[in-house]
Amino acid sequence: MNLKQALNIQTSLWPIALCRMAIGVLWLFSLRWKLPPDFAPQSGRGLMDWLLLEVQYPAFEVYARFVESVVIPNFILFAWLIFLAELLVGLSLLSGTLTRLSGVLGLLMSINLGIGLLEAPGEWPWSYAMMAMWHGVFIVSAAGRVWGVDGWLRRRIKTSSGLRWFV
Amino acid sequence: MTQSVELARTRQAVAILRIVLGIIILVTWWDNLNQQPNSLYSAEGLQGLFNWLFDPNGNGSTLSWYKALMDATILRVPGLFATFQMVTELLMGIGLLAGGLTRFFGLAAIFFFFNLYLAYFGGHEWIWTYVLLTTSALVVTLAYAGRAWGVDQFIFQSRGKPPINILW
Repeated sequence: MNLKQALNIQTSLWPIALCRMAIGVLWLFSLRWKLPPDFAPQSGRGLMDWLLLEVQYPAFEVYARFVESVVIPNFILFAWLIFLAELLVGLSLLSGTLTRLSGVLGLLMSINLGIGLLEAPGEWPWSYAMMAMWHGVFIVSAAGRVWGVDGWLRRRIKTSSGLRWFV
Repeated sequence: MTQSVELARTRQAVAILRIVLGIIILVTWWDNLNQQPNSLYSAEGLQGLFNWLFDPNGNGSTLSWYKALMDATILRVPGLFATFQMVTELLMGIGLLAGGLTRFFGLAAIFFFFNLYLAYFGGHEWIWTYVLLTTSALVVTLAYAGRAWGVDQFIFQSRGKPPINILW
């Protein structure tokens, strides 16, 4: 009896890897309307518009006050942080590199989006719940090992190295 | 962490995905049922939905071939299809939540969410919602997600492999 039979497991990892790449593309696509230097598209809502929505329709007052008093006055700084975080998470998930790290970052970013946009008109909170869940799946399943760079990296990192968890 | 522990945790994570998908379907089902002035699961409600989907002042969906397909099929019998949709969605939600006949209901969910993707394509709604839903249903189906924390686990233990692979 092999391991899978013993554990009665038939987990397919390649669909999870496929979803990993799709969500990587999702993060990269979402950069289109928040490109530097002004982080706004030629038409439609830019990053500042979404931040203002979070202030105007707060689900949690303390969060709205934080966005209003800290994030918006320092918009360029936070815009760069958001842009770079989404770019790195997107590329990491797409390529399957350090997937667990990007899973953690993506999870936090998804929760942040959900908290901020919970009461915003036209937003469906379950979208952010699903995104958070998927990043949780990537963390647990180490989804970069299938069709990803992590599979290659893992064979080259020593078992005792702390970096091994990230791949 | 051993491979066996990681595989088991992956299966549990996918089970959580299945459960949340089931909850999403059931919550949305309840909202649709109680929609005003017409329940979505009525001839008027269904017709109203498709009118709004392809209205440029509504969602503004752009797949004209899909609209033509809907006009030629389900919108010929909207009342009948609305009843069918109501029952199917309810069963789908319960099946995924409980993890019973998961692969069967997962397959139905893939079909259902992909249709929503086509219906909303090109409109104002965030289309990635339906990509996430479809891929979630795909993984739940392919990963036998009912065999962890679900009814399928007991069915498999008592009856073994299903006669048709698409059941549990």
